[in-house]
Amino acid sequence: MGVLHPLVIHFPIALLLLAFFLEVYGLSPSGKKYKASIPLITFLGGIGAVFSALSGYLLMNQGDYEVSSVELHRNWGIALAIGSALLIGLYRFPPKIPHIHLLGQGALSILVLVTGHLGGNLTHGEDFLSLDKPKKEPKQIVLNQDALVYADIIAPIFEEKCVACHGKTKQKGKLKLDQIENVLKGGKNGFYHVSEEGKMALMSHRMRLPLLDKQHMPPKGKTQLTEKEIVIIEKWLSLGASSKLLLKDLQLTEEVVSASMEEKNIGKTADWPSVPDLAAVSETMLTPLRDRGMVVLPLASGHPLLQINCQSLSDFSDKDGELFKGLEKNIASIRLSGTRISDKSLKWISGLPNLSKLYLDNTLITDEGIALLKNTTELRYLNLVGTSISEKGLRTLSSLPLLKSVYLYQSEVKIEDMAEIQQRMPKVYFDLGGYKIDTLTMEVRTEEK
Amino acid sequence: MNNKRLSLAEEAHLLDAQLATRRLFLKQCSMGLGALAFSPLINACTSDANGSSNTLFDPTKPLLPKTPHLPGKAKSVIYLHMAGAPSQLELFDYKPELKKLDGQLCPESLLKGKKFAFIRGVPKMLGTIGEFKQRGQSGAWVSHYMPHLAGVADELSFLKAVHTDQFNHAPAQLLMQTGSARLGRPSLGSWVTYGLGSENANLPGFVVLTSGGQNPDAGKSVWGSGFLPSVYQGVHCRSHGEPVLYLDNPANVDGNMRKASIDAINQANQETYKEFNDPETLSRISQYEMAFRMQISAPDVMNISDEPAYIHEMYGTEPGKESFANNVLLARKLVEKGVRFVQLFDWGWDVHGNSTDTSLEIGLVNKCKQIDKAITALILDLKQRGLLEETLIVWGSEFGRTPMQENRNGLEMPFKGRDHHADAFTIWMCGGGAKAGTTYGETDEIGFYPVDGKVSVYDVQATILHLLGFNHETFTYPFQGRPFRLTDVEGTVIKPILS
Repeated sequence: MGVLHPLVIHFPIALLLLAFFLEVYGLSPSGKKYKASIPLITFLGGIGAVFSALSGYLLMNQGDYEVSSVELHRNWGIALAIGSALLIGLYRFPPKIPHIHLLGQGALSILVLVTGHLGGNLTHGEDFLSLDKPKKEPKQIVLNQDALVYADIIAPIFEEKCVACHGKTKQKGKLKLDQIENVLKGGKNGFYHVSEEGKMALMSHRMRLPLLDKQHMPPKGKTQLTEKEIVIIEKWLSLGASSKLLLKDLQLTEEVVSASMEEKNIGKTADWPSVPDLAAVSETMLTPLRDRGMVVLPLASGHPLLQINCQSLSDFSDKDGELFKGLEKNIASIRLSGTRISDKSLKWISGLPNLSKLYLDNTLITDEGIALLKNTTELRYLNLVGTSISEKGLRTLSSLPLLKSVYLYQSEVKIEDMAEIQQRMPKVYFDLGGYKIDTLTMEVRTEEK
Repeated sequence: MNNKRLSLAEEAHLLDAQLATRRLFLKQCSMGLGALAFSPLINACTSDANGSSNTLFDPTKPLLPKTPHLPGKAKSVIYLHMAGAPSQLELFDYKPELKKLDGQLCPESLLKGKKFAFIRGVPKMLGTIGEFKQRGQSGAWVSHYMPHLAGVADELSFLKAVHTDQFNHAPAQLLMQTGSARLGRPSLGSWVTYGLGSENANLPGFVVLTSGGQNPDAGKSVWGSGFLPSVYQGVHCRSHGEPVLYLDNPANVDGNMRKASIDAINQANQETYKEFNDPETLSRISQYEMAFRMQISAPDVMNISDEPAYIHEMYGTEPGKESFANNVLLARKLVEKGVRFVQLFDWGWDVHGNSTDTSLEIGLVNKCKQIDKAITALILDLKQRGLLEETLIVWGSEFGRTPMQENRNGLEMPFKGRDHHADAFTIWMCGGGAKAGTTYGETDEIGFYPVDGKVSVYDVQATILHLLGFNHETFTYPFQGRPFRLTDVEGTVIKPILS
């Protein structure tokens, strides 16, 4: 029943204010015709107010709130319920006092506004309505090794992201995170979560649940903890959650923290260039490419970088390079496998600053063309399968700092030259292909019956 | 009502008066709210293709390439499903302890509360027949059953403690491929083609190839589209003879005539669509058009006999025959051409030990011979073409096998064999962003239960979707009034095997 309170209260608020409004409007001739509806609206609003008061009383006793902070709201709410009952009585047995209904409605509206405001403060926090709210800057965790873990790091995190619901005024699940003693006490389910794997702080368990899990904390839609914050809180809890622990006691290294950060941002990979300032291209600019038959897609929804596939276009040739004018910065991957391009196309290709993946397999390009690629410093993947590239062309790739893999199956590169090339570019994986699989036999003892 | 005609002013006055009555207000309220609440129910079973921004489905261009949530590492998937469930204890999950227990009666504690498909009473433990070695630099265990695959063990990423909750083939296959043991959900391949479309407009986005003489036990639903538009269901190609029937023009019919007849059919369909507004009609039109384009492109792609001899040598293929190796080679060709999802089913892995073909000593050896070299060739061939980085290969089955010897009807079996086992089995992935040379998960000393790195079927599905760039929790389709997803309410991405 108690949980209905936030729902029910909207009826008396709207209805009682409407009744007051109609009462005022009724003073003018055009509003006269609505006067008849006022008793009904007041009646409905009054019932709503009584229900609100009842459900509010139940909600209060569920124990999520500090009694002292709710008291004021409770008293006003009770007054409102009684007031609206009285007002209904005034309509039923009208005394002969001029404008008594108008005055009554006015007084009740004031009650509604005050009670509503007090209730709002409880749900959304004291400073919910203040306009000059100081904009909270998210606190940066600085890894000063002598910092007190609780006081300097964790308390501010709780303050920022938890105490609105688990604090002095409101204690959802009977959990308070305003003082360290209260943190250790835990909520109504206690401090520990006992699972198959063992005992861990309930808080760690809740923080690690998937976001869509109902028990995940902070709840969906509220500001979430960052991976770094979770790691620090977890470590602190597992070491006994003492207020005296120093940051160095947690033995967190920068790497631990940054590794867990990376894990969190699984969408950001080193596979693609980082382009924080690049704007996405408008769809209309891509239409000519699509009309030409290319597959043009952003790397991910909303991503500014594009991957382009011209593979199915057997008539794609050097002059089609024109089509990419204005898109140079946005092209991260281009697949020209089996098209009719020659060395000439490498000119526009070498002007793509964010090019990370390039497929030139089964085209007419030669060593001369490949030499033009030395400025595409973001290049990571290069497919030269089935081309006439030789070790001469490969040498020119040594200026590419991020190059990771080069595929050379059915090219002119000879295995004898690879030792030297590999030495020049130790980080690059070269695949010459031409694998042969010897037919092996299984030596199986067959135990026939 | 009275018969007197009202003047315009009177009528207006009457309406105005009606508007002010409580009766009308309440009546309108209740009816209005009722209608509001009822309207989504009417549409519950349709896929609300008209104007809903919630679906990625464009009935006129259902296979248009689309972008996933995140930059995915894999662009296509080759899923090798060994229907019937090979024995992980013979192939990948090395249990020396089990060998010592060979022939002993199974302890009661293991059988308590367990249900088996065929084991009755107290079975005997069965030591592994596989001769295991640690392979490559990663030291992954691969037995002598897979001598070729052992050579590329460093490319693989093993999940050794996968579990499912179904111990019969059909429901377990459905669970693995559609995320539900019951019929009616879209398959993994359908979800992927729905979400990503296809980069090749002349070929289907989701192709199914079967071998081993039979379709999987769960029937064609394992590549069905469920409640997704039917255009996303797998296109099952025949495994010998022409892969797709009637791609050739009949005698005395030329391309122009064929085109004219397809245009006429499409026009009739277009009119049907105007009348009934069913998006499935539009799908059908686009399918006809694709079929026409396939006439030109498919015979070329589907024909493996054009491949050079050394490729046939590598895969162990014999064109014209129905074989897993042929399908594997075909899968490579399809992926190379931009097909999104190629699903292979190979039947005949149900090693119960009740006949030669289902024995661990002979049947399993023969089955492994059929796939071992071909899969190894697939991995190396994709690698040398520079395509392994963006092609995810998944090898697995619907469940595993018991460490106990099967004793069907309480009798001793003529051959060595194992019963169905849902609690722990092995799946491996390769390429497409799976971390090469890793082994994740461990089973207990006899391979009965997972002890570490236990993952569910849903976790595997979530991981495959993740590698393709999807967030499996938000990749949904609205049906019957709620969003559905492949992993339903389960699934966590298995991060330790991501590269």
